[in-house]
Amino acid sequence: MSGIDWAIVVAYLVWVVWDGLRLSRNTNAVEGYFLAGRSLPWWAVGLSVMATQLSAITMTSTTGQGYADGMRFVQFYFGLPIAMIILSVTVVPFFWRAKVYTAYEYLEGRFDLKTRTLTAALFLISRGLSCSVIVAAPAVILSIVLGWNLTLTVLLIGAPTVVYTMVGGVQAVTWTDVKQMGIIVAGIVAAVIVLVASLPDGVTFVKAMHLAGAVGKTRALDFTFDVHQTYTFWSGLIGGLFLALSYFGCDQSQVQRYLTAKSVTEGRHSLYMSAFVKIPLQALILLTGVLMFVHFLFHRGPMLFNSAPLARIEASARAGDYHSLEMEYGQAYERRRAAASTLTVTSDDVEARSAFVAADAAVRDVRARAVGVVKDVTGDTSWTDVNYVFPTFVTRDMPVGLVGLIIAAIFAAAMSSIAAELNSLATATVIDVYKRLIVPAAPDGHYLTVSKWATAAWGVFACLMAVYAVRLGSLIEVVNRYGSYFYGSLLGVFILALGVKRANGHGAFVGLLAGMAAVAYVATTWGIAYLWLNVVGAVVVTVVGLAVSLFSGPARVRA
Amino acid sequence: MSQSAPEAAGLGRLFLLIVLTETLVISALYWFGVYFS
Repeated sequence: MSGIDWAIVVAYLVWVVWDGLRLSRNTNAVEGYFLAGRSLPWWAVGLSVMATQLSAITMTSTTGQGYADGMRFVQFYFGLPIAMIILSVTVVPFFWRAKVYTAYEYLEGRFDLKTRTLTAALFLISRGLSCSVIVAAPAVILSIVLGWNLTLTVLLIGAPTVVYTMVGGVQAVTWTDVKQMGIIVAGIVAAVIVLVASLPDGVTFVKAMHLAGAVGKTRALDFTFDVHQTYTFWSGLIGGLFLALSYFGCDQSQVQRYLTAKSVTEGRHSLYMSAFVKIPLQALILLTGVLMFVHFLFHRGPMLFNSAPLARIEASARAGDYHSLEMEYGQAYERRRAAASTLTVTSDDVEARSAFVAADAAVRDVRARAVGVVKDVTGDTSWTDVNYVFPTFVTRDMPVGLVGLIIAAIFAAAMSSIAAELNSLATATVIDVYKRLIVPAAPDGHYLTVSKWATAAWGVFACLMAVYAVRLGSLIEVVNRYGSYFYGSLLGVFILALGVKRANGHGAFVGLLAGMAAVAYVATTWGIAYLWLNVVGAVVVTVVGLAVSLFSGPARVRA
Repeated sequence: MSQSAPEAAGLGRLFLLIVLTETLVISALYWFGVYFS
């Protein structure tokens, strides 16, 4: 990375901390620190909602998905707009008018303390771990691609975020999210422009899309109804609907965003922004990946985009196999480039198209065998280099200046998500645990001080776990899997709370445990795609919760 | 959670707009795939 790019990244990091601290107002009371005095405009909250959801993992792995698998991942978001409509007339007015700090606080009023404590504990455990993954994932990628020290990278991402979140509270989080969202979108648009501009002479954008389309990468929709397939129209629309309802309706990191809005109407409008913008934005990010695929048709990339295991392969008995594959890859790449060039001048020629499809399959075959060597040598059966395609393209092929902008955008994506998570983790820790269970009657200033230290403690935990998580590789997968066990079940509790008058605390508590157990069982024995687990969890909790409620006495309904 | 009639009508129009927009975007994605494949 050049000096100019370094300067841009450093300038961004200094600016984001300064700006976060400058914009932190009304943070001399707990309500101001956690809810901004319920004073923020809808557009700021809406951008913060989107920035929180769009993490650095989204930037690197979604572009990688576009490169490897085309546009089909966009189906994941098809349920989101409908979820926003449902949430805007259900949980937004309920939570906002109940004047709660956390979603779980509402559950005590509706059910009982044990249901509140269990849901808050589940949130703290799952979000605490996922926060460390959100720090670790971009830190690992940037450290490998840029050759930086891993601990330094974790600190560069984590330390500034902890500082402005701890001092500035939710005001700092929201207003920095707004600007970070701008940097993220600018970075993605810059990448698209460079990718289109770098197409060879005679290859227009339309021809580039025809090349990608020849190998199925422009097909976004798959109407197959198969619960074992991860991304189909139906899994996105139904499973994605339940996931979005759970994430935006029950996860404190999102609920807290719209609790900061000026009014119920402003809170609703903040969600409508995601309803309108999310699918086109994700399509643009995936299109970036598809354009990278075309880019690497004409600009030779490495056989594997993650170079980390190469030293181990060189020292292993498989080094010879790997070198042979590299030579084979070079030949396969040249054949595919020639076939792609031929297809761009004879776009309707069936033979040229078949030759290109066969040449692409040959390249993929060599890459798959190389990945097999890596798995064999490292013992990591889930190893993949998909997340490294975008950072490799940025550092190798982007012009000076824009490299810094996109690295800053990756930092911005990571920091905006981490900040919101730290803020919500601190809120649940102080409101649902410390104030409710440990020190119930202390001055507001005491809780404010504890809130700031809780933010710092979660930040330190996330950074330490991030360094540790890297050594455990598969932990990231475990954390993501655990999240899908928990989300649908939590949604079921809120369905009982808001939609089933006869539900009571025992029903909700037992239902939640039954839902998580059912999801764990289904996930390990049926092998259905994870989006459907959210449906299973929500349905089991609702049914079991209602049954237990009916047998265990009258409901306690909050007025 | 009761809502006034004008508020409910406004929400209804917004929901219709969201559903229409989503339908248009998904249709565009579908035809994008068909055209370029």
